Amino acid sequence: MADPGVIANFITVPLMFASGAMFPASIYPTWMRDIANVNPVGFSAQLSRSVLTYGQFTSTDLAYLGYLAFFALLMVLAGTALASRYLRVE
Amino acid sequence: MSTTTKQISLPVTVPIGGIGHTGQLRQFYGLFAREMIKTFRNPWVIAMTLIQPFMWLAFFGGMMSQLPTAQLDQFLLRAPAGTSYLSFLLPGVLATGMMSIGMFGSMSTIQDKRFGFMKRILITPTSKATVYLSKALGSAMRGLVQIPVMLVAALAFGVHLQGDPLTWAAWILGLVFLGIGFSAFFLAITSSSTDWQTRGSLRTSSRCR
Amino acid sequence: MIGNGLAISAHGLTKNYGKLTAVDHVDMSVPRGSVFGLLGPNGAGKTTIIKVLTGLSPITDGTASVAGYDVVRDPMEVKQRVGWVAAEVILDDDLSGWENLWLQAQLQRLGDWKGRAEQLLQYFELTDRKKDKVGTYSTGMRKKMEIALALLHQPEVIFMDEPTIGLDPNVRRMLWGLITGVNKEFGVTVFLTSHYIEEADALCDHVAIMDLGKFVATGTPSELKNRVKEDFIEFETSESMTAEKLQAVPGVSSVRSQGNTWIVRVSSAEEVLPNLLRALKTEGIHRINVEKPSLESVFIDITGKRIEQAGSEVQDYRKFYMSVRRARQ
Repeated sequence: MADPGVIANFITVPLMFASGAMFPASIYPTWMRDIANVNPVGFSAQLSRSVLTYGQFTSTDLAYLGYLAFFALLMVLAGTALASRYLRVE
Repeated sequence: MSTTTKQISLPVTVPIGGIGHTGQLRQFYGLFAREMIKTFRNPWVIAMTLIQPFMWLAFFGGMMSQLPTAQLDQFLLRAPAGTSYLSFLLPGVLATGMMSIGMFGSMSTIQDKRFGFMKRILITPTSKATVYLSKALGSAMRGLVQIPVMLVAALAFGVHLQGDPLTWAAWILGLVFLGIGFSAFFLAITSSSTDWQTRGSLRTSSRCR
Repeated sequence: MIGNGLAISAHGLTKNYGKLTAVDHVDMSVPRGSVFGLLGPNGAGKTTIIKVLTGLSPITDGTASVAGYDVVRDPMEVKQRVGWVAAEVILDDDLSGWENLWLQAQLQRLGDWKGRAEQLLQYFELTDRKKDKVGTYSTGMRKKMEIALALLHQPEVIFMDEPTIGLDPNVRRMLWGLITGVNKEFGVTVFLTSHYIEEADALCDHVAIMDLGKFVATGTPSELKNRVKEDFIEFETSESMTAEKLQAVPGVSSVRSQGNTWIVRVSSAEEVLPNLLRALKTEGIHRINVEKPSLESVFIDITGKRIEQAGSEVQDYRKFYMSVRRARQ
């Protein structure tokens, strides 16, 4: 299994920045926008922003919530399967 | 050699629930409670994970507040007039913070492996899946702590928060899902490792014999 | 239920870590209610055997059953019936003694456990510290806590890995008493590993001597000691000594050497020593040691090494192997 520290950085940095969390996605180059389109971090940020900053809640936001629920479920299921097999004792 | 040593009769304990669901739920609860107890008995760990989002708010927010209003408006688009960049940033910081906490959550597992506690857990009839789930949920719970803290910080910075209880339930739920998802993810990719540091570091494991 | 009513039984038990054979086709039968000791140097495979018998590590080859259940087919059944005390004490230091017991009860899914827990704490004299964090306990208390945890679900077998390693003599004596108590008063089969000869000799009904993954001798301590009817004299001398010269000394039956250290098997140390000293007069002696028959003599007899010595070479190999394994991840 590859070094978790390396993987962690590979994943977290793009997800953090290509998300619309820090800056609106409208200013992104296309390739970053592609990441932002599937980025759960971004969806959560948009959802929270909708409520807290803009004071609204649209159907898109509901879709975001659904996507996040699906993301959580998928990760838990995949992770359980992986851990059952590979969790090392020491 | 054996004299008349009387047998001690202690109360007998009986396992209930078998390997089925009741049993597993108890094991899960025991391990999850352990995660929570350990978190609250080591509060500096939470404090450390709160530093990053806090600093982001302070520095990014401070940085952007100096930007000329025209450019700022370009950013904030649909926002009501007078919205600060901080209120734009806060949700982003919360979400990113959730991901970071998920990442650091996997470290508790590695600690357990290092100190041999994982062996103590797995020598009982507890499945690896139960261990994994208890840690994933524990990590997600830790992530939730940052929500009230960051909200208070944002209010202190003068951010105006909108919404009603129902919509608040929605965005908080969104963060919960995010936390669960990333905790599960990072735990899964570190489940087969014992070393958080760069590879090649010789772990002087006198425990491995 | 399998295993012929034995607490532990194994046939051809083998565990390989890649090319390294840690446990090499071991056969074993441990009767219920006995204290079984595995004696050998570090790296002999003692801890690995425990890991394999308790399901912590998968078996490579062979079969084993513990408490009547096959280790490979029914690991969960086995785990319900075994307790484990680690060489390095493994407890959750953030939790109190009582909370550690509570956790164990959850993991073993026990019903009404508090009464038994209280009485165990009383037996081990830990009652007044039960609310304190285990991190504050002394070493002896931590060891006792581990045994209490291991007994909570009344196992049939307790595995104790190097129970008295690194302890001072008082704590060691206390622990010996406890181990015997656990066996006699609680009726639990005890499987312990050790590299201390006196420990195996004093505590165990049966002993297996282990080296490099194999059982090289088994039996009761008396049986094993009777195997070696002769004494050993070990000494260090100058380089010009040869095996022939030593062989020529009357009473010497066999000679083994390692560098400048010689181990000479003699019929009786008292009788042969004067002859030996006469022969060595010109060479000079740097160090001399006489061994009466003991479990160590059996070890020396079979392997030609002392238990301490044997440990030191193999340990480096295992450390090296472990580092190779980590680099490969």
